[in-house]
Amino acid sequence: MKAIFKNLHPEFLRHLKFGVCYIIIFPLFITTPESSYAEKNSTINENCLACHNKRNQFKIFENDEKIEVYVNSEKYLQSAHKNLKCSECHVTFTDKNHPERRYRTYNQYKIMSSHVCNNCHYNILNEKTHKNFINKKEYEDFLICTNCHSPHYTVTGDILYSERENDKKYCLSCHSKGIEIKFLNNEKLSIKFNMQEFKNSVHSEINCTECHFGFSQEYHPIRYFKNRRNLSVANAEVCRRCHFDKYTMYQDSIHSQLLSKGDERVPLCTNCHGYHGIQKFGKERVKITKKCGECHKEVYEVYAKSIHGYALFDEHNKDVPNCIDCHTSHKIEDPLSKKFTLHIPEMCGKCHSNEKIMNKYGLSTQVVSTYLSDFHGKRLSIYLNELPEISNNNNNIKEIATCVNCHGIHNITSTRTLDKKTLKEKLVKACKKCHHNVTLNFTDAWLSHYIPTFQKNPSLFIILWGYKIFIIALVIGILLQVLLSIWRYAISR
Amino acid sequence: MHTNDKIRRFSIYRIIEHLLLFIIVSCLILTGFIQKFYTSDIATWIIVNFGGIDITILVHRCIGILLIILFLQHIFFNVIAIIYYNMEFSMLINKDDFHNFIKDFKYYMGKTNNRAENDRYTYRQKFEYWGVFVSISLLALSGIILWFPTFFTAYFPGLIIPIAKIVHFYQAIILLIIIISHIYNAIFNPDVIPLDSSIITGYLSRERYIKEHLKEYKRKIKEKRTKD
Repeated sequence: MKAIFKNLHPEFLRHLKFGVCYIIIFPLFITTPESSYAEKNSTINENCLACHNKRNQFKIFENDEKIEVYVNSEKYLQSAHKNLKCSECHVTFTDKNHPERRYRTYNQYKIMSSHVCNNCHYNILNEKTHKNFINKKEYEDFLICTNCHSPHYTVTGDILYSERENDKKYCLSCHSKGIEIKFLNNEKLSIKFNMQEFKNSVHSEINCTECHFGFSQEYHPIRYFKNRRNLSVANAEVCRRCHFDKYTMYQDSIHSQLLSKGDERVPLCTNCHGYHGIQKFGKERVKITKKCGECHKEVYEVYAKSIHGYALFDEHNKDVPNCIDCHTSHKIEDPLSKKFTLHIPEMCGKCHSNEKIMNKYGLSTQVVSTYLSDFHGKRLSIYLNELPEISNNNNNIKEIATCVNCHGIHNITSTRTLDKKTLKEKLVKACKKCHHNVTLNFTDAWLSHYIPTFQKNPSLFIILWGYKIFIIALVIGILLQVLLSIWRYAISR
Repeated sequence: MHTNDKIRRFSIYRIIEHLLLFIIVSCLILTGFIQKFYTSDIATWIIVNFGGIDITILVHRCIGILLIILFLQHIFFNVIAIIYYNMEFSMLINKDDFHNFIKDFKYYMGKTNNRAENDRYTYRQKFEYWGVFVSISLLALSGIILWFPTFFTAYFPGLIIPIAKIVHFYQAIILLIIIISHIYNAIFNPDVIPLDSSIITGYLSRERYIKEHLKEYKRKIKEKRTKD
């Protein structure tokens, strides 16, 4: 509950407090005998409509804005609120009581009246559609219910459903024909709308003008773009109106950083997802990988030859990681950054310490824990512990060998097929990157992810357990001596 | 007489040596164990305030060198003193220590009322001394191996590095246990409580000298008489 309030816009929260006061004070008014009597006899709508059914009556605000106070009773009776009486929303108004209220602006009036909606639709801000509006200042307008949902004629769920259908028809009257636009560099783009494609997309229920905002039946601004890319960049901003979470993730990504530097090759929302024919990627892991491969060709080819890539493409194996399992789909970090490097063991460990997955392939689940208990892993976890404190000067962090330094990044292959000698020679190469002039012996210092056992490493095992037993014996001996001396001292007193 | 009541036991050299050993070993235990038990909050706090793990490791190694210097000078001067200046090798473990141990054990069990007659050092003190001696030599050796892994693996099998890792940790624990038992014997032991101050002042009362180091006391008296 606290978290929900945290997410609320502070301005809105202030309004909400007013709303709560309303709810508390409101019953004091309606429980007086006269008003409750009047409501039960339910002539109230007619009483109100006696005046409000007539045209050309205005409410004038202090800044000379005016609105017509006309309510179309027939249309009202078709709306979702047809069973409500006037005074249920206009709370202080009854057939006997018609207080005069003063508002500075029309907007202020709308804000105040939006609190009434809260009485019934109190949970509405937690819904997905509305949640997107709460965090951002630009959406302040959307926090007023009546800006989107007509106060008297609102129909269930959709925003003005009938109008939407009309809108689409209106746009398509031109855009279903093969028209083209021309950019300033003479590039051409067909702006014919493919209805079939759109109907199969996830956005089939959405109105044209909801994405192409600024356009409507009345307005059709003419815009000039240098080239198609510039149009895409401008249109990608549209997606954030609903997919704000994905948008912020993208903002942190390496792609967004390169975009702000003016890189032309950077993918925008539409480059991966398409525009009118947007489909869910869902669980189509091969498709996702191929999408990344469109730009990252070299990496894609290396990955396809690796043990993971082979399993993905040839076996359609669902356990192996594809691009987005490591790099994530939207919040793609710079993989060469130190922060990313520090999280690599955790990333690999997601699968490689999962018994369910590893048992299928007969792989050890102790690879991460053995790494973390050795020199490199320990230093890495200490860095991770320190990270919030020293993140300001990341240069203090030395480079540490992680999984990828020995096993490769995209070109990971199985170590089972190699014999011991070639494995050692490969390992020494990896060691030599940091530890200069090391010999083949040096690789034996690393126990290859094995916990010392009697069969595998007898000398280590004996020393380890020799120490453990000796320490236990030592502690018992010293304790015995201490207790005996105290006991003897107590007796001889 | 006041001076008659106290007998000199430790020279200033021993007092300073003990003090240095105390400071250096406590620093090493602190900087070492926070590296081993890095997951605890206190360790993280200390490491961060040291300025990061790299500096903590550097500090640990530098103090380690100080300990090795202290250790080597101790051996050097004592060996010279024993060989050329006829100093008594009083820390040498001999038969009497085993007899004293059995005697003391019987006393603790309540079978006799006579405690063992000790020479300059009791068997317990000898045990602590040699425990620390062996621990420091093993810790120093394994510490240096861990410091220069590439150098040592050029001449020895690679397995010495995981072995050095195990030795360094478990030997440190043994050293810690010995230190704890030493703290008990020198502070909380009912014979000396509240504190055996002889290593700080250098003097031990005649009463306790007779009680704890009777053999040495008798010998000292004899020497004095022959001198007179």
